Amino acid sequence: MKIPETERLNDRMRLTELTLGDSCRVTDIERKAGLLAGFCIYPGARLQLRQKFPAVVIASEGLEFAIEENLARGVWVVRE
Amino acid sequence: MSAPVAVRSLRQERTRIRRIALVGHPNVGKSAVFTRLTGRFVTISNFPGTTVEVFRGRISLGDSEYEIVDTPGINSLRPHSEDERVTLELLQLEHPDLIVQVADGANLRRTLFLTAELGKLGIPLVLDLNMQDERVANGIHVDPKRLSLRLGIPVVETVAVRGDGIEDIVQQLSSTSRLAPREEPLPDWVERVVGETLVPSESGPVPVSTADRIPMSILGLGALLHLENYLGPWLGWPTLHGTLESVLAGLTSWEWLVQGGATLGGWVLPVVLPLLWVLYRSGHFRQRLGVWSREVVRGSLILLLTVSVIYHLVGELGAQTLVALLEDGLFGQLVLPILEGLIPAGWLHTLLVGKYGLISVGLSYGVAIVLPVVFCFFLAFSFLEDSGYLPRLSLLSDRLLRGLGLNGKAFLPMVLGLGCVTMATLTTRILNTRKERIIASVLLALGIPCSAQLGVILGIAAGLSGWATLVIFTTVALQVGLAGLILSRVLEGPRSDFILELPPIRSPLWQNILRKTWLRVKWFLREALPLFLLGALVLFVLEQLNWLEAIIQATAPLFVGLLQLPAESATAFLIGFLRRDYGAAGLFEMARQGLLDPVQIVVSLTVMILFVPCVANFFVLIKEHRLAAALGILLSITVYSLLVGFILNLLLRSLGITF
Repeated sequence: MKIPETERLNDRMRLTELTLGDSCRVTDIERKAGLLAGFCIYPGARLQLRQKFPAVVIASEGLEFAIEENLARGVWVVRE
Repeated sequence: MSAPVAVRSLRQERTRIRRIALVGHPNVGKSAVFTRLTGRFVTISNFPGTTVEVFRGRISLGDSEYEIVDTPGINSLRPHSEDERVTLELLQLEHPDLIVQVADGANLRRTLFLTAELGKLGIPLVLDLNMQDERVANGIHVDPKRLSLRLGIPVVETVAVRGDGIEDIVQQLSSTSRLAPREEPLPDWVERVVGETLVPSESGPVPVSTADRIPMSILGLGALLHLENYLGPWLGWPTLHGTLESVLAGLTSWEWLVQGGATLGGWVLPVVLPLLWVLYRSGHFRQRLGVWSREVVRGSLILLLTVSVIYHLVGELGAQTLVALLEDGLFGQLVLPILEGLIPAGWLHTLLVGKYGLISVGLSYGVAIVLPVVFCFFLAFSFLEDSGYLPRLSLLSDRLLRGLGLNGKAFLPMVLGLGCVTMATLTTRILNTRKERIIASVLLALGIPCSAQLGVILGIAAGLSGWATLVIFTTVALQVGLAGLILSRVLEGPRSDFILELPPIRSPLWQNILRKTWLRVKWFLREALPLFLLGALVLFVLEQLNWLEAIIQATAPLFVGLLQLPAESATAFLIGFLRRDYGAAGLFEMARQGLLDPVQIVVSLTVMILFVPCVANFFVLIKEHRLAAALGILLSITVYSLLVGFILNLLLRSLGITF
C-alpha cells in the first residue's frame, strides 16, 4: 500500500513516540525491525499503541503483540 | 509370483499415502485440527510455541489413506527460530501433497500474507478459517465463498476445539487447487482481498455494561476472602478456614476430611470458583484481565494471587491433604499392614515391604507422595496454559530476562519447566539463537524444579514458616540469576529481539484441561513410576550387599561435613540422580519423621532443587546440545549446588536463623 509522500516527510514519528491509545499507520520500517513483517506490521498497516512498559504492546487487526522497545523504535508511523 | 507391473503401479497408486501438512501462524489451533482429524491427542494450549516438533497421524477414507502432519507455528517462510525451521524444512524436503493453512480468520490480513507465501510453494492449498466462534463474537464476518473464489482455493470455517467444520476439511483433503496468481504488489493484493471478503458488522462487539461489573466484584470479594488467610491473623479477622474446620470437626472425626474441607473453604470457594464463574460468564472481564495481567502493578498483583492459589492447591490440598489420605490412609493403614501380614518374613518381605521395599518405598513414594502433588499441579497448569495468561508473564519478565542474555520469550520454557524440565528443554527450540537455547537449558536444569519436585518441596515447606519457603526460593532465584549473568557474558553470540503474540484470555474448556491432566498423569505413571521402582530396587540391592552404608559413609564428608545434614540424607540425594522428585520425596519422609531440623530442611531442599538434572533431562540435554556440553552442565551443576548449600548453611547458622 502506498503512503502519500507528504505523510512520509512531515508527520511521521517513531512508534514509541505515540501516546498510549493512539492509532497510527505504518510508513516505514527500519531494517532491524524487518522481521515484524511476519506479524503483519508493514508499511500501510494500521496499529494502536496500547502499552509502553515493560515492553511495547501494539494491537493490529484485533491481535496484540508485545515487542521490545528497541524494535518498536524502528517502526515509523503517522498518527491517525 | 509377482504381480504385473501395471497392477502393481495401480495398487501403489491406490495405497499411496497423501501427505497433508497443517501449517499456520502460532496459536491458531493447528493441533486442535490435528487432534480432531486423526483422533490422536496432542497438547493444545493458548500460547504460541506449544508445538515445537512435528506430529504425524494417519486416517483412511475409503480407498485413500492420508498422513496428517501437525507443524510448529510460523509467522512467515523466513524462519527465525528452530521450531519455525522445522516447518520450513518439512515443506521443502517432504513436499506435502496438500497444505491446510489453519488460520485465525479474525486476522485476515495477517493470514493472507502467509497464504501468499505458501501459495508460492506451488503446493495445493486449503484455507481453514478456524476459531469462527470468536470471530463472530467479535463482530467480524468473513464471506468464505467469496474468499474462496478470490483465492482460487477451498476455504472452510471451523471451531476445531469443538469439532465444528472438521468434516469440511475432510472433504477437501483430495483438493488439487493452487492459489490463484496475483498481479499487484502483496500489500495491495491483501487489502483488495480483505476489502472484498470482509463483511462489515452491523452490531459489532457488545459494549461493556453495568452487569459486567458484577462478576468482577464477585472476584474481588473472592480475592479478599482469599487474602484473609494472610491478613486475618494480623487484623484479628475470624477466618473462613477456621470456621469451616470447626464445623467439619463437629460433624466427623475423620481428620483428612476435616483438613480437606478446610482447604476447600480456605481457597477454592472464595477464589477459584468465582474466578471460573467470572471467566465463563463475562467476555469483557476476560478482556480486562488480559490488559491488567500485562501491566506492571496490576499484573504483579495478579501474579501473586495466581502463585498463592497454586501454592494452596499444590502445597496444601495436594502435598498435605491428599498425601495424608494416600500415604497414611491407603498405604499406612491398608496396603502395607495387609501385605506385611500376608508375606512371611524373609527376603521377599524385605524386597516388597522392607525399609527400601518396592511397595513400601517405590510405589508408596510414587503413588502416595508424588502423584497427588503432580495431579494438582497439572490441573492448575493446564488451566493456566489454556487461559492465555502465560504469554503475559513473558512480557512482564522481558526486561529481567534480558539481563540473563535471554528475552521474555524464554519465560515460556522456564514456566513449562515447572511442569516437566525435560519437556521444557525441548521447548527451548522456540528461542531464536543457540546462545539463548543453551542459557535456557542450563537455567532449567539448575534452578527450575519440576512439578513433582516443586509440589513435594511446597508440601515440606508448608510445615515450616513462610520465611523458610521464601529463603529457599530466593536462594534458588539468585543462583538462576547469577548463572544467567555469567553465561550471558561467557557465551558468545547475540540476544534476539523480543516479539510475542499475546493471545486473548479465553475460558479454558474443562474437557481439554481434564484430558491434558489425565494424559500427563498417565505419562508420569508410565515414565516416572518405573524409575521409582528401579530406585527402590537399587537401594534394596545396595543395602543387601552392605554397600549402602559404605556409600553413606563415603559421602558423609559432603552431606554431613559440608552441608551438616544427617548421613541418611545421602540416600535421598542418591536416588535424586534418577529423579529429583524422588529425592525430594525421600527428604519429605525424613522431615515427616522429624529427622531434619528447620535449617537442614531449608538447606537440603535448596540443594535438591539445584541438584543434578534427572536422567531423562540429561538425555534430552545430550540430544539438544551434544554429550560434552551435557556432561559439562551435569558436573558444574552438581558442584555448584553443593557449594550453594554449604554457604547457605553457614549463613543461616552463623546468623542464628532457625525459622
